[in-house]
Amino acid sequence: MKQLLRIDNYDLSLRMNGENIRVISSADLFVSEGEIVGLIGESGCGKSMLWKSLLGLADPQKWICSGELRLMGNPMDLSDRAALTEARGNQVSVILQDPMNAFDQLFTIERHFIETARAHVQWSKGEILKKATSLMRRLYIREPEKVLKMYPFQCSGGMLQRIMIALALMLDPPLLIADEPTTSVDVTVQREIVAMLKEVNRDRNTGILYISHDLKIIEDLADRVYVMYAGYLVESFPVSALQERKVFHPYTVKLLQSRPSYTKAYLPVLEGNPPSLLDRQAGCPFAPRCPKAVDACRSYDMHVYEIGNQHIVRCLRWEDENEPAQN
Amino acid sequence: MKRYLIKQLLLILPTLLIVTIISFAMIRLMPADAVDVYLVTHHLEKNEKNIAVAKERFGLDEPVPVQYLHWLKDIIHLDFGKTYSTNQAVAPMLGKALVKTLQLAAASAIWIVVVTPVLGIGAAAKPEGAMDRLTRIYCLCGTAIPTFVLGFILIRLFSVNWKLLPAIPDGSAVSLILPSFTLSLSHIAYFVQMLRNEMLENRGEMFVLYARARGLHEKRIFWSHLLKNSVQPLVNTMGISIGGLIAGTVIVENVFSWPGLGRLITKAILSRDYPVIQGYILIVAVTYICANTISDLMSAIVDPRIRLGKGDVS
Repeated sequence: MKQLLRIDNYDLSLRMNGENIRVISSADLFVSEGEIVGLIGESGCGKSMLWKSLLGLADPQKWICSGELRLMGNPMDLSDRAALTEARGNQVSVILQDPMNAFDQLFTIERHFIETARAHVQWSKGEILKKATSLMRRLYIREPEKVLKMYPFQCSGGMLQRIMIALALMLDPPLLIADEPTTSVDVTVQREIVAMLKEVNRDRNTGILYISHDLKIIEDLADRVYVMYAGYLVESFPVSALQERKVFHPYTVKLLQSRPSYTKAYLPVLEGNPPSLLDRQAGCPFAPRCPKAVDACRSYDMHVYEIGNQHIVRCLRWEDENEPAQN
Repeated sequence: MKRYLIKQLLLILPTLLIVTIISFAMIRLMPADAVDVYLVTHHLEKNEKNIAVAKERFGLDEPVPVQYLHWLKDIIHLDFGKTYSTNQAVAPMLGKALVKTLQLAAASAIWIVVVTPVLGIGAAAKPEGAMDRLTRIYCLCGTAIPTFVLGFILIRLFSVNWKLLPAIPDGSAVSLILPSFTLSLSHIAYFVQMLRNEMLENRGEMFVLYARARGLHEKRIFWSHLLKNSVQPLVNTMGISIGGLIAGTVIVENVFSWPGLGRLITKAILSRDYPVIQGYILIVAVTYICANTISDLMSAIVDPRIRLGKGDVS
C-alpha cells in the first residue's frame, strides 16, 4: 500500500533564549492510503506541533526540525516552504478544532472555498461553487447555496465543522489530517463527524491522521494507533491490540485504565502531570509517573522494540518482562 | 444594512437633544451671571433699569424651561444670538470659522489616511526590521511631542530657515500643509501603533493558521485576511479621532494664526462671550455625533458581524 506520509527519526526543537528545547524526539510514523491512523496523547505532548511542523506551519525562526519526511512517497525537504505550501490543502488537507475561530469572520463561506481552490487550481468560480455545493450536500448540509452566502458567525459550530470537512475534500487530497475536530462540538455532532470521516475514508480511500486525546473515538475510528507522551511516540499498534487489551507500554495501559467503564468502581487516576518542556530529564519522560519504572529508566533512553504485527513499543522494561517468557 | 442605517440615524436625535440641554444648562451654571457680563462688557451702570433691559434681552424674565424652548427654537433656525462684545450675529461667525477648521481637519485626515497604512503595514510586514524600528521611534516621538512645540519647530525649519512653506495662512492650499501636518502627527503615531499591533496580534490567530493550512500564500493572507481583520478596530477609533481633530485645533490654530473655531473660542472665552461659547459647544458636540455615526456606518461596511447582527441565522 502506498504510504501517503512517512517520517523517520523526526526531531523538533524550540529555540528559546539561545537554547534548543526538544519538543518531539525521534518520531517514526506513517499513514498509508485508505488508512485511519489515530494519534493519541495528553494536551501539550506535541501532537499538534507534529503536524504543523511537518506541513511547514511552524515558524522557522522559533522551531528547528530535522529528519526525513516523505509525502506521497516523495522525499520532501523540510525547509522547502514553497513546496510545502503547495502541498497543503491540495495533497494534505487539515481539519482543525474550534471552527468558530478558524474561519475568518469577515469572509463568507463562499470566499473560503474560492480562495482555497484558487491557491491550487485554475477553476472558474462556477466550477468551484458547484463542487462546494455538491460536497456540502453529501455532508448533509441543507440548502448549501444559501449557506455559501453566509458568514461563519451565522453558522453553528457543528455546521462549520462539516463545512470545514467539505473544504478539506474539495481538491480530493489523498491525506486528511484531523486535529481534534470533535473537541468543540457536542456529543451528537461528535458522532456525526466521526461517522462522516469514516464515510470519506471508505468512499474515497482517503488516508486520515486523526489526532485526539479521546481514546474512545480513536478506538471507534482508527485502524492503527500511535501513543504520544512528552514528545515521544511511546507505542504504536493496530487498533485490535487496544480492543484486546494487548498493549504494553505502562502509559498506554494507564490510559486504558482511566477510561470510564460504567461500573461502580472508582476510576483509577494517572497521578501527576507530563513533564514541562523545560525540566525534562535524562531517560524515559514517563519514569516519574510509571509504576514499573526502575533506576535504569531514569538514566537510559528508551529502547525501541518491535513486538509483533505493526506493534512497536519504546520502553526499557519490555525486555525484562518478556525475555524470559519467550525463552 | 438598511435597518442598521435607519437605527443609527434615529439614535442621533435623542443624543442631540441631550447635548442641547447640557449646553443650555452649562451656561446657566457659569459662575458669572450673563446679566453682569452684559452690563460689564457694555459699560452700563448696574441699576434696576439696565438689569431689566438685559434680562429682557436674554429672555431671563421667563421660567427656565420656557427659556430653554425659546433657545432651542432659535438654535433650530440656526440663530445663535449676538455676541456680547461686538453685537454681531454669532451664526455666520461660527460658520466661517467652522469652514476653516473643517479644511484643516480634512487636510489632517488625508495625512492620517495616507501615512498610517504605509507605516503600519510596513512595520508589521517585518517585525523588528529596520522599518519597524524607525516607525517605533516615530510613534514614541509623535505621541510625546506637544503640538505647540512641534508647530514652532516646523515653522522654524520650513518657514524661517528653508523658506519652503508659509507659516501664516494666505488662503492657498500650500499654507494648509504645516498646520495640518502638525495636527495629524500624534494621530498618525497612534494609529500606526494600533495597526501594527493589531496585525502582529492577529498573526497568531486561528484564522491565519487555517488559511495557511489551506495552502494560501503568505502574501495573500497578509493583504486580505490579516489586513481586513486589523483595520476593523481602527475604523471604529477613527470616528472619535475625527471628532478630536475638529475639537483639538485650539493649539494648532493659535500657533499658526489659523482663523478657525479654535481661535474663535479662545477669544470668546477670554472676553466671556457666552453666546459664542454656547454655539461652539453645540458645534463640537454635533461634530462628534456625526463623526461617530460615520464611523459606526464604516464599521458596519467592514464588519458583517455589525451589519447583520451576530448570531443572526437567517
